[in-house]
Amino acid sequence: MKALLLVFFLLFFVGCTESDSEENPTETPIDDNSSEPTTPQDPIVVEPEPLPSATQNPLYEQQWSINYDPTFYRRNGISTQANINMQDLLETYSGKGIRVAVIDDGFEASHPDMAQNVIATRSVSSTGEVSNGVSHIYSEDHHGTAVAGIIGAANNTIGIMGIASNIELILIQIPMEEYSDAASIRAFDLAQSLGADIINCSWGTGEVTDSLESAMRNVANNGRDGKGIFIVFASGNNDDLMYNDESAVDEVIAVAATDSEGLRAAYSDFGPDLDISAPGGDLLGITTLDPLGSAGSSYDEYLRYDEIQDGYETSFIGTSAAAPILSGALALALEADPTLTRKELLLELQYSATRIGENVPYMYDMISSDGSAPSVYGTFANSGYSDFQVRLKENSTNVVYGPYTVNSLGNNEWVSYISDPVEEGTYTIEVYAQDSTSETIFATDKSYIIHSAYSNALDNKLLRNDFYGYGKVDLFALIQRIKE
Amino acid sequence: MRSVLLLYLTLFCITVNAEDFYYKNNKKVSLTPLDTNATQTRNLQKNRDTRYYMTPQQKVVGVKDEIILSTTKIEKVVQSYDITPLRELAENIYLVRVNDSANTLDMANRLYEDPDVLYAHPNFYKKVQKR
Repeated sequence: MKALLLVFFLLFFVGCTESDSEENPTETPIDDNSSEPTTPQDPIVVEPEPLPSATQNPLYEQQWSINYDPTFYRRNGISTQANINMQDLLETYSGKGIRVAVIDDGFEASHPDMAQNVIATRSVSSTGEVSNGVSHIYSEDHHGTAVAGIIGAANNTIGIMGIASNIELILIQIPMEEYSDAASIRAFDLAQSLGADIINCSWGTGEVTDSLESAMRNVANNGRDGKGIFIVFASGNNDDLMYNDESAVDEVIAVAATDSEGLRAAYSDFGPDLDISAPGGDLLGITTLDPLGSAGSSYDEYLRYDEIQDGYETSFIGTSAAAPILSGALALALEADPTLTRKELLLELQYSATRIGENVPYMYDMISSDGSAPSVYGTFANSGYSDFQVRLKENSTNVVYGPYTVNSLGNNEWVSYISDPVEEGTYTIEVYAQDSTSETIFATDKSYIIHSAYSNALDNKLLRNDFYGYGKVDLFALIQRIKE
Repeated sequence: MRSVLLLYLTLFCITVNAEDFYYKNNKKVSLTPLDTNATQTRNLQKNRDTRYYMTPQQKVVGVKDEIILSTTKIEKVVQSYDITPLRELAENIYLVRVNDSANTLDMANRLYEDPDVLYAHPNFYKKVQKR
């Protein structure tokens, strides 16, 4: 009997030890073979307690992209339009129950301001081998930590607060110094099998192959039990057309960056595949996490909005910062309604976005036609500047109809009447401006099929622009639409 | 002797003029070979087993002895070609090793043209931009 008691005692002791090890952030509670997300078992229904105030985070004041602090805004000359309009959403939403996978490198999984939200860490080799854990390789290797922190830094009294501060983070390290298609495909598949709802990628190669495109399509369309996983990519920082980039794949949400004036950041890549804009900073950076000690870019564990090291600005700026802001916003929206499919939520995101920009035309991505004289409609973000023209291209290159002038309809709306009879076919419609030296394409509606019986297209109004996509994220408006 | 020289010359010309390409969306994408020491390859990890090419979009890609292909008949495909399967990367997407490593591009293109294969291309090694 005594021996039996001793065995029970030992078993109890071992159980306690295992439980302790799960608190170690480098451990990965998810079984690698498990394809189903675990759900907490809680049979007792209790009223949700109010979330701790965001202001308890000492650096929350600096987080201008999500926090409108009038004093901080005034002191730093930030436009009131620069943030994503959170209002009091952080009192209700924290991303609870939503899983976000960050595919990147330079992860500090044990960062004290994030560790509690990290549920799995994996590394993928260039030939697709998977191992547990993530590691630092280079001293300036901070990127993944900074990206993940914007999404899922915890709500506590240590430093910053992630947009989705109670999220379940999956950190997947890919070999940035020996990147291959195989690593990327395996990483997406892994994210799906670990139950990710959203996958954030703040990088790109500008050269997408059939295999990666098809792997991403499969995840985006069939993941999340068929509701679809959100794949979010940074559009790029070269002030250039997105071309054949990962961010340009149709099923991917491509994010451009806005600055502290609430306008397009000068470096942000653009094009007809751009979906949405979010703050990425320019003169002011996005305050976020930095790996500890010499592993990071700053002398402590944070990259501040005005970080300067050895005379150089080292704050976190770019579409790399804009993408996780959208990923965090999507996590809160999914928390509000987890049943939404990818396409449903994307549509709500597009409708709720704020049309921003100075004298920038947005075009409805549909054409109205009564059969013989189609017209292109659009709106200006601000005043009714109308020095734009419309043209139709075939094969995206040859102008076959136009140019046609843009006429104001009042209330910042415009119309361009296509006066020629247009033959049935597939066209790219462009809104552009031209001066003596160059032309700027503002909005592109690609692969638009014009046919003789088309009408009533304006029932489905969606405005977009090649530099801002459907506009800047407005999270309050998005969640209001979802809750309606 | 002259005929042997002529044969060598012909083979040399074929080699020099042979177009390197891979398939994407049923179209040939040309690849321009680069010297391993070319400045364009500076940011890629150099490896003796890697051949470097420039794509039409001026991106540098590295090719080793690995091919990614998609098929629902992997066993049949592996038996039909001189390749060794390494692992399934995602559903019906496989990484295979080409047993004759000098032949990766050609093998990828032959696989692409096989009706049992949805697509195939080298496992490209690329420079990735953190943004």
